[in-house]
Amino acid sequence: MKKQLFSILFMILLLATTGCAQGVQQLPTSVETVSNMFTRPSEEPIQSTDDAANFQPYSFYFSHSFEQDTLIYEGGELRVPFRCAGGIGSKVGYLLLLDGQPQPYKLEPDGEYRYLHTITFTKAFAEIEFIFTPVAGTIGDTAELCAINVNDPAYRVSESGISGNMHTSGSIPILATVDFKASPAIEDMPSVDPDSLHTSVEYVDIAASDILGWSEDDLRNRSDYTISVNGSQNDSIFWNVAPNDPIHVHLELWGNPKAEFSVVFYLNNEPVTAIDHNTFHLCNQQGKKLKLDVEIDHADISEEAVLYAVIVCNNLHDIYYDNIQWFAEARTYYVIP
Amino acid sequence: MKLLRRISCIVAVIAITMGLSLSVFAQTSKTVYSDTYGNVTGRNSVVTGGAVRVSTTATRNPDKATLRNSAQFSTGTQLTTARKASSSAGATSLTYDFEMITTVDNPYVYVFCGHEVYLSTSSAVYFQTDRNLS
Repeated sequence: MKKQLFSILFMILLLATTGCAQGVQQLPTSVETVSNMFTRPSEEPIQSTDDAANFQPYSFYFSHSFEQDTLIYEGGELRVPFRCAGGIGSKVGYLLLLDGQPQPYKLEPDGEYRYLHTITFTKAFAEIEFIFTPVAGTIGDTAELCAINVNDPAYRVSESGISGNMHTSGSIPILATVDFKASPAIEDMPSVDPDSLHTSVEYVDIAASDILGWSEDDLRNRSDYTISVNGSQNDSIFWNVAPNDPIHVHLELWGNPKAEFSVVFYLNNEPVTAIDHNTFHLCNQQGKKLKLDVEIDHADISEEAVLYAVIVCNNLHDIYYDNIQWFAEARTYYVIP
Repeated sequence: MKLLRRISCIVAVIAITMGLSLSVFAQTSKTVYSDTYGNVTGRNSVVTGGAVRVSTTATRNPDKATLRNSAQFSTGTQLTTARKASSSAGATSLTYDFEMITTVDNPYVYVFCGHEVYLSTSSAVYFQTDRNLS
């Protein structure tokens, strides 16, 4: 009898304890700490802490910074020291945009100019140099240099399945300013195919819903955008797309009339817009919303195509303000035949 | 005696069931250290009402960076575009509930949560916490 009573009491105690756990469910079930990325680099691989890891989880971490916020260009090739940290074994590509233009670069002085180089982290951090002759700017100019990380550029949904490792889901743009003390010489750079793009631009009146909830300060300073691909704002993956059907991108941009933006589209990690080839320098207009429609031809690509759109502010050093929401964004879409 | 045994069994089953159901609502957490922001901790949990609560905290925020949380939901064949929520400049914590708007025929089975510190113009931190929803 006593044993039975004891077991009941034990169960009640267990219930009470479980009930208490509900009250403190904010306590993490698993906690992982990654040590200092730069001054105390960790050699330990980063593991997912997911508590039900049976759906291709891909938890990664990432950090990066320019060593100098202001760069001086005095002719020849510009060398830009850069620090980045990531999970061991992870692959991270970098895109550079200078004054809104895709900027090809090298990682070694005698290396190859490309728009994207991929770094594989063999330890938790890396110190690299972007080396390039600027594609924009002349003596006396100040231009923004924007670096954007692209996660695992070789990843394809049709090969690896759906994961959180979309090309730009963890992309965080960062900026440095380039002061031109000399004008760059024109050099041969990797070419792009301007024929793959068909565009139209128009300005329409802003609707009340576009600025719903905006403060007075927002109305002066904020910018916002929406983007849709093949008519969908919500989907990232497009299955069963015929190669002959062009990808239709619709972008709407509105807000701060002082802000100047560029939009660059990349198909399979190569820009389909570049200097003198339809890079879109977009300016907001007071009370207007810009609508950009783009059709991107991917007929030459028989397998899955990865499209990302990068929107970057080109004159942030002129308009910087405290409550900025974003100065560059990137979205990825997978188009699968 | 039999009654007591039955009660014991029932209580045990209830306790185990509650334990299992609570584990669905358990939290995933990850912490990353950065020189600038100290410990940056990201958490996610499922909250009552069909939303995923995503939070990011930083020990310090000396350069007025912005914290940003994001959530991408997957149905297994589709992945939504990222929904994002930002803090004000200089904040050291941000919590946001991302509603799961889905249908019975096409439920979300997984969520990828992003935790960012950015907009300090020259440095940034990003990492993910994930969660199985099925």
